[in-house]
Amino acid sequence: MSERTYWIATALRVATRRNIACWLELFLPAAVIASAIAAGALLILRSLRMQTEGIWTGFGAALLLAAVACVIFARRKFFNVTDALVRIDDVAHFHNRLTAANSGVGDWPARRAVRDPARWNFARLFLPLMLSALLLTGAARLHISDVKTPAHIDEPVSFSRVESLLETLQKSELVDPQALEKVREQLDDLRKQSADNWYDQSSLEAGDTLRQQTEQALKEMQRNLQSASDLVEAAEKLGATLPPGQLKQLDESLQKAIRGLEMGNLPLNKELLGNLKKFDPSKLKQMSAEQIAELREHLKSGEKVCEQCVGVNPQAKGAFLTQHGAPGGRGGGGPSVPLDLKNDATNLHGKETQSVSNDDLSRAMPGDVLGISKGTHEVKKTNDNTPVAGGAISSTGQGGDAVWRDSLTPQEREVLQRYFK
Amino acid sequence: MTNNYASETEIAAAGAKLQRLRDALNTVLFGQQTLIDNVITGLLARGHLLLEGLPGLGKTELVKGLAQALQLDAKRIQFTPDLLPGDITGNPILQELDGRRQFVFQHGPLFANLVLADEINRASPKTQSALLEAMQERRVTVMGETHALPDPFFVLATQNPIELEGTYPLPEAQLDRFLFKLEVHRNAVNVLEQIVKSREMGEPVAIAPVLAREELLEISALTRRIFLPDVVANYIARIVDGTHPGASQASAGVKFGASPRAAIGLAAASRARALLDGRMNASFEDVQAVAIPVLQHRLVLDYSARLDGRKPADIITALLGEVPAQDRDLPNTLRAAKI
Repeated sequence: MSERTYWIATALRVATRRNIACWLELFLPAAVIASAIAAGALLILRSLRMQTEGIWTGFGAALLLAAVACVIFARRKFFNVTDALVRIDDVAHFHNRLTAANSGVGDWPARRAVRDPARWNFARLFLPLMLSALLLTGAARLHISDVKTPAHIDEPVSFSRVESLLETLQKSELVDPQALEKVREQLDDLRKQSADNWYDQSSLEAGDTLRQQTEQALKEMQRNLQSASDLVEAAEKLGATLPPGQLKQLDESLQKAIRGLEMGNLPLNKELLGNLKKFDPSKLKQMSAEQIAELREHLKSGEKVCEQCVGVNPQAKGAFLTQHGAPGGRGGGGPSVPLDLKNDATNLHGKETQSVSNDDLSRAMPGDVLGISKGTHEVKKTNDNTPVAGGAISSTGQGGDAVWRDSLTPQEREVLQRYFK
Repeated sequence: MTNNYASETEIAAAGAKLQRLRDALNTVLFGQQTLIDNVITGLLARGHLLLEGLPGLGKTELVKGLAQALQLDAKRIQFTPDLLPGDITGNPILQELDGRRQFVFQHGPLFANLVLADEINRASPKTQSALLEAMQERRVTVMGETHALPDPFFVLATQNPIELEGTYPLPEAQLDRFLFKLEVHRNAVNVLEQIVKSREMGEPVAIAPVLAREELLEISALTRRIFLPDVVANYIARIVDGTHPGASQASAGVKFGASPRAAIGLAAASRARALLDGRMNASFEDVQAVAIPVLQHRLVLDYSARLDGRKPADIITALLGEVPAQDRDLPNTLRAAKI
């Protein structure tokens, strides 16, 4: 190997190393950018449960493209053999002998081991590589949970209550289906709104109102059914003995109950209503005992359905019979004696004082104690005077919780009690 | 290869002669090898030299010794404030020849191969300017008549950095005509001891001639044939450009940078140094070696830099550290190591 060949080969090595460094200087940041994009795309595809093979192909193609582009852009910084000889001259203090010899001036210097003193900057080399690997590995291995489903929100109690009532009524076929459908539409309207809005004040009020209306309608129906049932029973038992005036009164009461059953928010099933309408206390003989019993049975079953829905009606049963006297016993009890109020209270000579309870709170009088609750003010016991945000809610209600709380102080309660006394 | 660059043989022959000149000058000036090399470099590059140093350091002796060694016609001019331009260029004198009176030009001391302009800063600007044409054009014009100066023509001027009262600092244009400004420093103790032992008061130093005038011209011509690689020329251009304000970090404090004449001088001096070193081509190292003598008197510093005590030589040193030999930055993926 001649001196010239030796130095040209050395220069080629120096140039190649330097050119790779120049290329890497551009390529590594490009690789990091490509990795970041690929990692992002990978995460998106994985979260969408889509195939990710295409990402790797695209990433490879992008790297290849970047590599070629970097070669093109880095070319202006590339060293050729002449540049490399100058570099060797410079670092080896050859007084530009190699450059001159390459230009045909003077001889090539004797062989000598020369290395470019520039060393690889490993931090610059490996940091981008590690970053790229980290991004891709992270994107490929990161646990991705299922697509987040909205948290299940239980519908307000009033909704389910109305739903329960509707189901019961639908099964029993007691109520006119059209009326039921109307109530269901209203319930569906409430349900259709976003679940997040179910517990809004307006939504809760609307649900409660629907529930109250339905329950109220059922209570009215229960009362009317009870009334009708009683009247039918009374007509059956006393029909023949009643004077015409009382028979007329019974008929009017029955018609009133039928009107109530027909005109209420939840009208009675048309078939049952029709049968009831056909019932005429003055013409009992036209109806067979089985027909009357069947009618009573229907009314009783309807009454039971209502009882299932809204509970027992506390009103006294059999008012007409009580008022006009049941035949009872031998010869019957005869008509009842009208009640007269004495001027003086009856002295029963009782020695014990017994408490009287009133379970029917709907008939409570002002001043009656409906309930007692203990309320205490939330007193800040610490001396911490740090400012707090105004209007902060200390206790947020959960779904179904009572949002109102009695927080009267004992003094305030006393004042209210005094007022209502 | 059909280039006209200096051959190895020519360089070797020139190198031998120059070595003799070095040795001769070393017998005049002890312990000033760098100064002697720079003086020879300046002569080879056909440049004028400005020597600055305290009195008694051997400036005049060096020039005298150079004249003797080169067998050149040497003249010494002691510059004083009352020195007139005619006193150095020469004057026309009315003479009677064959019964007719006519002006005959009487050559001044400038008409010599080697002119020692002692304490040049003591002359008036008018006289200094008269020297300007002589240095640049190598000719003088008196009463409309131009007279060529002998070849070779070198001006070696000295100036004293102290006792500046009543002196006229050389203007930038004049300074730019000097290829080198060389600072003569005091000698070390061992050199002083050698001087004491070998010299007698008032006794001139006898130097044997080592180089004929023609040989000097020959070697000087050979200097121009020293190969200057393109990368070295590019390096010179970047260094000179870097002296200008804002062109480099090192140039902070520079008011005016070096001229293109400085770049030409730097290239010529680099070639001369390469020849003196027996090489066929100039190199980065040559440029670095002559950068301070070539550039230091050409930089004009601003007021703040002078107040800070910065010297042109400091700026040039910083510039040489800043400007890389190759106009290519190292890629970030490679780390520079100390060479």
